[in-house]
Amino acid sequence: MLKKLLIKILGGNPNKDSTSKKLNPSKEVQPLSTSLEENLLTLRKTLENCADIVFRQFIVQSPSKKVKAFIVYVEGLCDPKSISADLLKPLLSDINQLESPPLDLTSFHKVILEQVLSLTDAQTTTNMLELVETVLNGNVVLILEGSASAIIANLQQLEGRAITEPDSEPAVRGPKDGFVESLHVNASLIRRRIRSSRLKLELHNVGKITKTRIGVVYIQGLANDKVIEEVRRRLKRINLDGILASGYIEELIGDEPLTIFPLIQSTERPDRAAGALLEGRVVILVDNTPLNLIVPCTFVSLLQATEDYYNLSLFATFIRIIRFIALNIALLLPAVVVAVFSFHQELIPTTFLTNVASARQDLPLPIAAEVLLMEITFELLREAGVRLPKTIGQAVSTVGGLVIGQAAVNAGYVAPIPVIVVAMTAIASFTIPSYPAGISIRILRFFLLFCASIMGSVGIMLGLMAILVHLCSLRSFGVPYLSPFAPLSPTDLKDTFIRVPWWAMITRPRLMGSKEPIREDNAQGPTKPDKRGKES
Amino acid sequence: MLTVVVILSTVILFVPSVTAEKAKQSAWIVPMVASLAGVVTLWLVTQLGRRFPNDTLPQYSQMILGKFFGKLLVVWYCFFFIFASILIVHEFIEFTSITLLPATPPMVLSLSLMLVGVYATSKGLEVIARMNQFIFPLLLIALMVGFILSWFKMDLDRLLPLLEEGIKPVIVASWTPASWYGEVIFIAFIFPQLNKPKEIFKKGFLGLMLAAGIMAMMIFFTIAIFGSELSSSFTFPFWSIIRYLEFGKYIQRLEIFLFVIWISSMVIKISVFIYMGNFSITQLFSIKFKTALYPLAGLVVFASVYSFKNIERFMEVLTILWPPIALISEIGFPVFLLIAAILRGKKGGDRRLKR
Repeated sequence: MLKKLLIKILGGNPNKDSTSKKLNPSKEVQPLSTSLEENLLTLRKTLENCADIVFRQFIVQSPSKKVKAFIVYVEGLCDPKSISADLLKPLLSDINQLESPPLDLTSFHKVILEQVLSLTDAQTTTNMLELVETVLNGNVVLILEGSASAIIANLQQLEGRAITEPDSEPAVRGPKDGFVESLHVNASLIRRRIRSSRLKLELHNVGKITKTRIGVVYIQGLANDKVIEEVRRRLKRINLDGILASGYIEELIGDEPLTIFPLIQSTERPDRAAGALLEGRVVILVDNTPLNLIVPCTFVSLLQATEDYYNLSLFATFIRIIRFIALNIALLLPAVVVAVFSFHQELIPTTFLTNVASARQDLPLPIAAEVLLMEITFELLREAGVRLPKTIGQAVSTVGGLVIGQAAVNAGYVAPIPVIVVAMTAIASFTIPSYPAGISIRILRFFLLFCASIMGSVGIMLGLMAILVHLCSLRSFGVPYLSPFAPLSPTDLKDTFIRVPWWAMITRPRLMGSKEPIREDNAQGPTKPDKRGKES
Repeated sequence: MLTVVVILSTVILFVPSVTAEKAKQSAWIVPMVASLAGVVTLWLVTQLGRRFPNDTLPQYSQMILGKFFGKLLVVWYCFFFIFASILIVHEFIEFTSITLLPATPPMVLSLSLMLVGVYATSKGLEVIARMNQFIFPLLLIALMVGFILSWFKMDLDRLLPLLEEGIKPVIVASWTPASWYGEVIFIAFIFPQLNKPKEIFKKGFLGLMLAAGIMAMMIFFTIAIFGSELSSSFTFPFWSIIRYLEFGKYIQRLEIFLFVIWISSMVIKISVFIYMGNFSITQLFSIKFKTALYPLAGLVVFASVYSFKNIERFMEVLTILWPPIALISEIGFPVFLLIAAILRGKKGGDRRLKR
C-alpha cells in the first residue's frame, strides 16, 4: 500500500513497463553487411561523437590477396600493447609466412581466425547490435572486407584497483584480501576458495542504458533451487536505466518495499561470500562494486563477523555475547537512561541519586533533551568524519571528543551523564559488524529515545514490541528474518550467540532449505593422544 | 504456545487476589480445577474442527444453524471479542497507571498499546505467532527467576490447613479463572490456518497445563509469602511479591523486569483478540480485512478509557459480569454447535481437501 502511494506521489506509472520493453535493442538482429565501407559507415554513425572509440583501418596483405580491414575498440578498456602484438602484428606481418594462403574472401576470414591470430579468446558475430555491445564491453572487433561476420577479440584490460584489505570489514585473523570493482576478479577470488565444478556463475545484464553485468554465484546442490530461481526472476524484473552499485540491486530485489533493516547482506570479503555459499546461500556479484550481496539474509547473520569462524569457538562465543550486549547498549542505553531518570527514579540507588540530583540542579534542559542533543552532536561528528579527507578527519575527532564533550559539561549545558551515555552508545555501535545494520540501530535508537521520553519504560517496551512486529513480518527471499529464533529451529542455534566448534557444525542452516543438509561426518573432533594410542 | 501467553498475561496480575478471597489457603488448587474449562473448550473446538477442517467458526456456524441464526451467533462473537479487547486494554491502563505512570493520561496508554497491537494484527496471524515464539521463552525465564528468588521468603505453614472448608470454595473460586482458560476458543477461528491440525489438541492441552501449572505456582508462592488474608487485599499480589523481593543489597526492584515482559505478552494478547474480533466482523459482512480494523481499534480505545469509572468497578465486571458471558461463548455455544451438527448430520469442507 505504502509502495503504491510513494510511486503515485513521485509520478511514476508502473504500467509503462510494457511499452519500454519493446525498445530494448538486445533482442533485435541487424545483420552485418559484406561490404566493409557499409559496415564502417553504420558503426561510425552508431558511435557518433564518441571520442574514446578508436577506428583503425589497415590492409591485410597475404601472399595471395590484399584485403581491407579495420578494428574498433574503446580506448582505455583494451590493452594497446596486446592489440599491436596479438592482433595487428600477425595480421600485418606474420600472415606472409602462411604456407597455403587463402584465395577467396570467405575462407580468408576463417583462416585468419584459425591460423593467424594469436588470441586466447576470440569469437565471431554477424549481428551489428551485438557487435556494438561487445565493443562497449571492452572487446576489440575486427571486420574484414567481404565477410559478413566480425571477429571479437577479448583484449580487455580494465584499469583496476589492486586487491587490498577490505576497509569496512577488517579482520585480525583471516585472509586480508577484499573484493575489488571488477566482477571477474571478484569471481576469481571466490573460485580460488571453492575449487569445485559445482560452483556456478551466471551472468545477467541489467540496466537499460548501463548494461551492468551481474553475476549470480551459487553452489549447485547446496543452494536451494527456489531461491536461485527467485533471484533470477527478480533480477529479470529490474527495468531501471542504470545500475551503478549493488545498493541499487539491493533495493530493487528486496522482499519488502520499505523497511528499516537490511534484507540483503552486503560484504566486501571474499571469504565471507565463500562461507555463505557453503551454507547454501546465493551470492550476487555486481560489476563495479566492491560490496557484493548475499541472499537470503537473517538478522543474526548481520551480527556475525567472518572472524568468528576463524577463532576458537570459545573465543568466538565470548565475542558474540559481547557483541550482543553491545547491540543492546547501542539500541537501548539512551532510552533506558532517559526512562530511569525521568520516570523511575526509584530504580537509582539512593547515594547515587543525590549526586545526580545535585549535578542536575542548575541545568536548563530536561534529560531527554540533553541526551537527544548529545546524540545528534555525535551523529554530526560521525558523518563529518566519514565525509572529510582522512587528514582533516582527525581534527574533527579532537574537536568533537574534547572540545564539545568537555566544554558542554563545563559550560553547564549538559550533565556529565548524557556525555557518558553517548560515548558508551557510540563505542557499542561500532562493534556491530555490518555497516547497514549499524545504521538501522542508530535510527531505532532515536525512535526508542522518543518513546522513552513520552512513557518511560512502558514506551520503551511498546517501541520494542513494534520493532519486533516489524522484524517478525520480514522475510528475505522466503527465509524468515528472525530465524532461527522465530520460527524456532533448535539445531540452528549452534551458530547464533554461540558458535560451536567446527567438529560439531554438522548440518547447514535448516531454513536455507539446502538439499544437502549434512556438512560433515559425525565425530571427527579431536581425540586425546593417550586415547588414540590405545586405539591404534 | 500461543495459548499459554494469552492466558498467562491476565492471570499474572489478578488471579491470586481473586481466588484467595474465596478459596483461602487452598487457592493454588483453583487453577487446576479452572483449567478443566479450558480443556473442555479445547476438546469441543477440535471436535468441530475435525468436522469442518477447512472452515472457521463463523463459517460453519452458518452451515449448521442456517444463515440467520449463524449470523446471529457471529454477531455475538464479535461482541465477545470486542468486549474482551476492551477489558484487556483497560487492564493494561489500570495496572500501568497504578504502578508506573500515575501521571500519564489513560488515553495515551490505551492508544499506544492499540497502535502496536493493530500494527501486529495488520501483519497477520503468522507474525503474531512468531512474536509469541520470541517472547514466550523470555516470559518463562522471568517467571522462573521470580519463583527462584521468592523461594527463600516462603513459609509453607501459611498453606495449611489444606481444603479447610471442603472442595466447594475452590470450585466457586474457579469461576473467574475458568473464563480465562476458555479463551482457547480463539483456536476455532484460526483452525484452517494451523499447520498440524491433528496435533492441536495435544499441543493445546500441554499449553493449558503449563499455564495452569505456572498459575498454580504463582498463587502458591503468593499465599506462602503473604498468607491468604494479605493476598486477597492486594490488587496485584504477584506484583507485590516481586516488588518485595530483594537479593542481597543490590538486586532490588525486580518488578520492573517482570512488568516489561508482561507488557510484551499484553501486546500479543490484544493483537490476538483484535484479530479475532476483526475476523468475525469481516466474516459477517464479507469485507476486506483492513477495512474494519481501524474503526474497531478506535472503538476499543475509547471504550477502554471511558467505560469504567474506577478499578473497583472494573474488578466487578471482570469477576461477576464477564465469566458468564465468557463461559457461554466459550463452552455453551460450541456444545450447542457440536450437538446441532451431529443431529443435522452436517459435515463440511471436504471439497477443498480434494483440490
